[in-house]
Amino acid sequence: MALDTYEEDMLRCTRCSYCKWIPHQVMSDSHFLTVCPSIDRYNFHGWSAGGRQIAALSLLKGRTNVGEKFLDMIYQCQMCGGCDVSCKIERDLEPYEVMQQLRIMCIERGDIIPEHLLFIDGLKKEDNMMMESKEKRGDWAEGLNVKVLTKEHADVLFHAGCRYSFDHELWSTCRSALTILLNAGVDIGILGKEETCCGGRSYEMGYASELMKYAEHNTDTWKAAGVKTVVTPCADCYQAFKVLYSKTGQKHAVEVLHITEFIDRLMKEGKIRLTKRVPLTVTYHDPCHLGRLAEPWVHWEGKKVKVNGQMVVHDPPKKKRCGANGVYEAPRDILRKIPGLNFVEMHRIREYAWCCGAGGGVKEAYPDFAEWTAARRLEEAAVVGAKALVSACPWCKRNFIDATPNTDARVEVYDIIELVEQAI
Amino acid sequence: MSLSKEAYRALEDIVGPEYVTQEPEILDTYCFVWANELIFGEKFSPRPLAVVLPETVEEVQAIVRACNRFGIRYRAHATGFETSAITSSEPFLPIDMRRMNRVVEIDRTNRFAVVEPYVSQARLFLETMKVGLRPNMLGAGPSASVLAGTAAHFGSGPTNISTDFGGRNLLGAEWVLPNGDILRLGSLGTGAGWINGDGPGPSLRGVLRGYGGANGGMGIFTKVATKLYPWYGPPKLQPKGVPPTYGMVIPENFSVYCVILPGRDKMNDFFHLLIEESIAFSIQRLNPALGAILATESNDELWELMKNIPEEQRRAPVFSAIVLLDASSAREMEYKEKCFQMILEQTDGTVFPFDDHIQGLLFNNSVTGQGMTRAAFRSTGSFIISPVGDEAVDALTTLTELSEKEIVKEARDSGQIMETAPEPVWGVVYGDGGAHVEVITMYDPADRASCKKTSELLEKGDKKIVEWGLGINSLENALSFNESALKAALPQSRDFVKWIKKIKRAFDPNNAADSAFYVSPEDY
Ligand SMILES: Cc1cc2nc3c(=O)[nH]c(=O)nc-3n(C[C@H](O)[C@H](O)[C@H](O)COP(=O)(O)OP(=O)(O)OC[C@H]3O[C@@H](n4cnc5c(N)ncnc54)[C@H](O)[C@@H]3O)c2cc1C
Ligand code: SF4
Ligand code: SF4
Repeated sequence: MALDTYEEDMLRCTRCSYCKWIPHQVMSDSHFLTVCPSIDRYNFHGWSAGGRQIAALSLLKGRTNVGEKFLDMIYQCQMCGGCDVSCKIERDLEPYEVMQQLRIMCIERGDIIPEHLLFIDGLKKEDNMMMESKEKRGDWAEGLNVKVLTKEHADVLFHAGCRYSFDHELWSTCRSALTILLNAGVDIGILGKEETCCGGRSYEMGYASELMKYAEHNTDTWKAAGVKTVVTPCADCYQAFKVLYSKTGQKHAVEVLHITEFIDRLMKEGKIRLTKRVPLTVTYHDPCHLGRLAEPWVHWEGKKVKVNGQMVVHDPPKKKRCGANGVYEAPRDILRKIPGLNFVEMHRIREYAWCCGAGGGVKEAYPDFAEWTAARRLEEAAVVGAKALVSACPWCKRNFIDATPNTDARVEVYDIIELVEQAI
Repeated sequence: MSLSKEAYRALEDIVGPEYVTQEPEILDTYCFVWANELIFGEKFSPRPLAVVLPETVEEVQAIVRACNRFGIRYRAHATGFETSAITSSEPFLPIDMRRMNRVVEIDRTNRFAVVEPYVSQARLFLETMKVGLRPNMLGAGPSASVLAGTAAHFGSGPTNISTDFGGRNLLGAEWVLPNGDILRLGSLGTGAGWINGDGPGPSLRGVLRGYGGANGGMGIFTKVATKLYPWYGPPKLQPKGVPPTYGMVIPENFSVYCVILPGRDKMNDFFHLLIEESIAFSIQRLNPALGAILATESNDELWELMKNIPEEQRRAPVFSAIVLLDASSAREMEYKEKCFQMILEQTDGTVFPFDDHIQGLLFNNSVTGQGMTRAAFRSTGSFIISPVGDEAVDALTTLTELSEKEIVKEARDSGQIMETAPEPVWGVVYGDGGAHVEVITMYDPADRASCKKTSELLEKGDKKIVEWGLGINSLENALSFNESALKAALPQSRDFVKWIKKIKRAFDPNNAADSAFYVSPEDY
């Protein structure tokens, strides 16, 4: 749906600013009340979802042009979706979709952020978002005795994702993830250097055609490999496979699981047992792409009509996506079952979690802002007494590690896989 | 009016280049707010000259002085949710106060809090609950600025029965006058702290805000003290469920009721008796349509529930009120419940049996104001309040009856506004016998015909309220743009208008504080 199909939503934004806060009902500590890193860092109203509804309308009405400031205003935003959850508590609007379509429109008009273009050029050439050579994509798995599904067959495909494939510091985590599954007896394989990007990160930057391309390519590959399940340790890939591919209308019969869902399932089946003590006080950071953004896409075709005078309804009725149906329990279940581990929650969790800062093209174009955002999260973790912050996405982990020097909060950073490995 | 390079540089020198801007794309986000379309026929009001974000009172003072020097009009705002915050007929300088966001002090013994402009109701409530206290809560909801509701813009809300409205809660204040001088209001001016907003000497509290507030037209408040009241609930409220309609656990010694009264007179008696007995934490008169929006997760869900209700039934008058009782002990609660039952008996009131979830929503709404934004805006996209009255309880029931007959029914029958049960009202009651009532019209800002009908209704409200002898349609009505309501009421209020204009001239000799929603200095 193009930007102009949302014009009425923009006109109905009331500038209430609810999108700057976590939902008021769940506020629990006066230092952690906001949900939007963008407005917190840049302060002018334009750096909020509400502001971007106005910016989009202003552009459609020809009041403004896309200049450098305009691009900063729309791209200094992680597309984390916190705003959308808060807005929808009060309203039947789609502020997140407006921001997504605004980015797509900018790209279509050729209004491009040079930093993003570097990554997109890399993607087009090398099928990854890390500006690395695709020849090296499978190197992380070297020495692991695992099937390569271009040559062999397995029921389950392990999709590492771009960050794990090329970020050497994180390789050991990715290897551990695969090893845990292999040791649990899962019939699993990888695509090695034939694995490609999911297309999700480029889509968030506004490159809709890249998502289409990778959605087609990946689902075709899964079909050709004959896998029943795709499991990934990357929250971004998970959301792309599960939500964005569905949004693009790409049909496939493969079950998509995040590694936490798979481990949780294997634990329940008794195939993974956590027996070793991990004496650590940890808190869990919900990755946006595993949490609120992972809520299944709602397919709806119809029109908006007026009833009861001027009340606006969907015909047929449409289910509201409010972020509550993301993956929240599986990682928490795992952590609660690790012996000796003391699990504490932060003030902003689940659908109203604060973002790690790495999404929406921010890590690529505005690394300082990405780290600033992560530093605020590390501080929140420290305030609730955690000695370590655990996440379930390599983009979160990378950004938290990068942000550590920017804060006095002394908090270790783990991916949940590392704690599972320690506990087995 | 335009902003010279020199003036812009002066602003940059005061706040630093990061906190002032003249970029058109950013300025456009400061001239768009609900109801603009009723005033300007489109969503955008004139684009501001620049936007500036100060951090300290010294910066605010320097900005105001620069504005006086360079002939620039300015107006401060907090979150900017109110139309009166950023809308004007001429380009001006919005001063966005979001960087001034400190809770300066909570004085538990003397029961007041001192806050800067960007402290929200939700935040102050979180802080005060911990020490067994609570502030007045506006119906505008948890995001609204405490300072704005106390010093600058009205301050009505569900809890007014036990906390009174904003104007009565203002204690000491730090006030940057329209010319840039700083005035410390009340006891603060003699170094005696924040406890009193009046003395020594003649009180300036009325000049600072009067009844309705100056909507930014009398300078900038940088800190205010607001009264606090006992809170018998836990240090934290307990949410439950999932969005969009999170529920709330109702704590011990609180009970919430939706009461249906058989008619207008009985409703008046009901409110009078509740005032007399002083047992309520909050009271709201609420049209069932607003309650239904509040209690549902989407318009689709609401319509599924409504569509099979026969039209006559949907259009039947209902006199309903939401009442929350609180107590410091089980014994006190027992007493209050008994008293409440007696009031119900005397007024033939019945309690509508809502389930736990909806009771939780009503509790939350009564305590925090959460949900009024949903009720006002979700169904059609926007709302206005007109007529708005502040009078004795009985006079206001007359006002809503007359409004229904002479204004609202015709608009509703035209199909251009949201259809509701008659008398689409939100109202609250004060402890002193007074009350505040708003006739609510929900319209579609994306629909020209709906906007046109709503503008007509607004204009009628200004005139009719005067014709009925029920005041001026402006006290809380932020849509009294460019004195429209004052002008309509001129025959009755000439003296009042003369005096507030004199005060405006005395305090703002250069007419620097933008008065689009207050009074201009010129006499009629
Ligand atoms: C749905 C809805 C329901 C509402 N219900 C109520 C209600 O029940 N009771 C009620 O009283 N109001 C109500 N209002 C109006 C509401 O009070 C204001 O919207 C409220 O003050 C919002 O807070 P804010 O932080 O957005 O203030 P803003 O909109 O930023 O400011 C409100 C006014 O105060 C002025 N102001 C703000 N800060 C300063 C300052 N530091 N110095 C000088 N002037 C300042 C602004 O210029 C503006 O005119 C409602 C509004 C809406 C949209
Ligand atoms: S996007 Fe939604 S929450 Fe944000 S200002 Fe607009 S209506 Fe309010
Ligand atoms: S997506 Fe995240 S960063 Fe962007 S406006 Fe919404 S809350 Fe703010």
